[in-house]
Amino acid sequence: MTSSFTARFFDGKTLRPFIVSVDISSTGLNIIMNENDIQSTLHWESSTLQVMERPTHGRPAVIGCKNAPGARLIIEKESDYLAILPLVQQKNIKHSGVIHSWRRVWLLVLATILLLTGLLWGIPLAAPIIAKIIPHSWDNALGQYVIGEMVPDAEECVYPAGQKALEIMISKLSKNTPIENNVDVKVIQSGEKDINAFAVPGNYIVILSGLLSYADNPDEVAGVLAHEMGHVIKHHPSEGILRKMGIHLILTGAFGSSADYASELIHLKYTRENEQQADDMAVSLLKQAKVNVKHFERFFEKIASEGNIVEDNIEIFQYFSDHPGLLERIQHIQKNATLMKTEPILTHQQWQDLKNICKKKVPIEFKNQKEIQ
Amino acid sequence: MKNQEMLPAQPIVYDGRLGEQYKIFLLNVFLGVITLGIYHYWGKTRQRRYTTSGFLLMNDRFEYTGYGIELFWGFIKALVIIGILSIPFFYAFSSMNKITHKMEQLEQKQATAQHAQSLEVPDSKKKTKSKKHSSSDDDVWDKLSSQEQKTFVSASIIVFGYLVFYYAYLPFAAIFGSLRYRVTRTRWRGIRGHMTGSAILYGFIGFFHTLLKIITLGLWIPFADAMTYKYKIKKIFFGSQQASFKPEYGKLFGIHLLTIAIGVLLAAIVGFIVSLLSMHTENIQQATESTEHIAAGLEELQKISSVTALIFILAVIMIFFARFWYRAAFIRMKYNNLSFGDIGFHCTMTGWGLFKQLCGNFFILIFTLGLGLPIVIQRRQKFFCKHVSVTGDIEKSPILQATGEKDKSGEGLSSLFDLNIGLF
Repeated sequence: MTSSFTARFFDGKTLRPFIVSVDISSTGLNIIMNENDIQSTLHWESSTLQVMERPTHGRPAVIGCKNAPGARLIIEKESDYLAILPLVQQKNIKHSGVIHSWRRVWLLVLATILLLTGLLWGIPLAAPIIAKIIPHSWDNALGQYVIGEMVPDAEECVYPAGQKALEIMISKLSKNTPIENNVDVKVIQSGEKDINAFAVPGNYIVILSGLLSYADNPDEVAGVLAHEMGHVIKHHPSEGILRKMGIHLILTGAFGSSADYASELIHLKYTRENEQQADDMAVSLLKQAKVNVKHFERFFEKIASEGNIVEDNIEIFQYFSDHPGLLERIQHIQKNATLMKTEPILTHQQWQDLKNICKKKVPIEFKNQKEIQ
Repeated sequence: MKNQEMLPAQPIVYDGRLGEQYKIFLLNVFLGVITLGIYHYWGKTRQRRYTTSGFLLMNDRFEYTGYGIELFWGFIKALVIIGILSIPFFYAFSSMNKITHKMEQLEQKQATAQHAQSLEVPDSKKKTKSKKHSSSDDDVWDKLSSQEQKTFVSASIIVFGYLVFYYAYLPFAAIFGSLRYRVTRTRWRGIRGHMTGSAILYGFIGFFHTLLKIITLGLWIPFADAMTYKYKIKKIFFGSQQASFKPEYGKLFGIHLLTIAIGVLLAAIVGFIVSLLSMHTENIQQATESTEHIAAGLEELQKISSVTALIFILAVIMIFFARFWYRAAFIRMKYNNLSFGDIGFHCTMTGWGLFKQLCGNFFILIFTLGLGLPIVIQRRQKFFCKHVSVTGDIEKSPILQATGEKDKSGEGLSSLFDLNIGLF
């Protein structure tokens, strides 16, 4: 195979252009230069040939050689370029611009949009399933991070007698459940008006001391704690984060910082279904612990009747912050609460000890829990 | 130089197509999303390769020979170096935070104690007490141990030093490194650029001039601009030919002073009008007090304040525009006083032209939510070609291939700072 054509040539040593004759052979290119009637030939091995530029939109093709840095062969005719092309190894073909057609580009754009849409809508939809299969160590780490962000620099209340009372309450409520001996409940000192409790990923539940002061009896606290345990058992904290993150993960990842992530986690809200499931679970745990469900119900009514407390700030009322919703919820609990023989979850002394749990405080420490099913 | 003037100027032509720019842009955006941003370096290379090949001088195209992997590794290297350099900063910062937190706690305790005391102390004695507590900051500081005080002071020095290093030194070093990379990866007629000099030294030069700009309240700006530019441009070689640059400091300083004078003059006019208006306002206030035409007076006051606001906005716009005049003058000087042996440049950029170009680009990006970036890229290149041409007999130029080594560090730091340095 031999064919030849004329091309412009730069030797990679000077700025001067040369007109050369190019012979194509099976081993490569022979570039023949005629300078002052003196002929010289350069041989570019096919393995060293590089396409620096393809001929597009009237632009000439540019061929280079690995062994001659800067030397360039400028080929105007596309047919000459196509004659050389079979000699060039695929990996040595470079090009500016995009070789793909507009059709392909739009297909890629469409595929990416579909992928993003999948992430935006798919993750929230699959959140309940994903929440159950994500590694527990991730849940733990996330939970610890959330607690650190929600109550920064807070101290945990650890007055021994109060802790013992709390452990009794936890033990009675979590008996025969997946979180038996596997839930870390922390009481954190707060202002009197901070009546709150919340579950975070990793089987952690946080009770603010304001809730203990506000409750009239231990059974009210048990009701709230059982509700939070319901969330933990049903993996709601991780599910909620995933659901919210599905949309925000991309946006926050692209434009935000880790502080934004924290903010997303802190302002997490459960769905109506989640709250109902947690309520049902709470009723079931309270019944099992022989606690009168009426106290849990009364606690709701008390909150609903007091206008000075902003219900929206309290986790268990977040979704049902409107009164019809709250009443509906009370009715739902009443419906499930069957009469039976009940007893207070703590003795009078234990209740007093629990109320005094913040007599001793230490920086927050975390226990590692086991995986729950 | 005489030779350059006799020969007609050679235009630089740009024939890059908007459609191709959009293809590259869309691919880069979407591949960037899929790869969580990693593709950015390859995308940047693809875009540069196309844009650079769109420039023609004497019918021969420029060529960009950089690789995405070079940019990526440059970024990783810079990240590691900055990470290591940042360790003392983070350590010092966390120590400072701990001590600040302790100081806040002490202050809180002190405030609680004072509050408790104030409830007990009779009113007559409160005044003397409150005087004592005005120096509560000093009290809190005194309550820290001497070791904590020393730690706090040295940590503050480290943090301050690091911030100065990061914001006033590193960007200059990054600009130099990026320019070196771009220069060594650009060819015309097979001849590539080459750059000597030190990014570390350029960082110090840039830092030093920034300091002088602050000390002289901005009077040093033209000298700083010209001197920093001179340092880096004179380190550039096109093939074997080193660049030469002869700045006209006096001319640039004159324009700088003039633009500042316009600003000061406008500010003075605005100040004068405002003072006149405020005097008028006082008269109105007095009138409204003495008469019962309050509503009419208020309406008049509203008119006056809107006129004042309008004049102020106009003054800001005028100062802003005046600075374009300076910027265009500096760009003209950058090209008109630059040469590679017998090859020189001619630039005709004006302040108004630059203003239109940059404002246009800004509004295109804003109104298209960034989707107009390819349009901006095209506009930028065409604007450059419209105003810059090459002088001198290029065909007879004795310029030979560069002998210096290619820069292997990628753009490193500039990727971290997201600096986008144009070669042209």
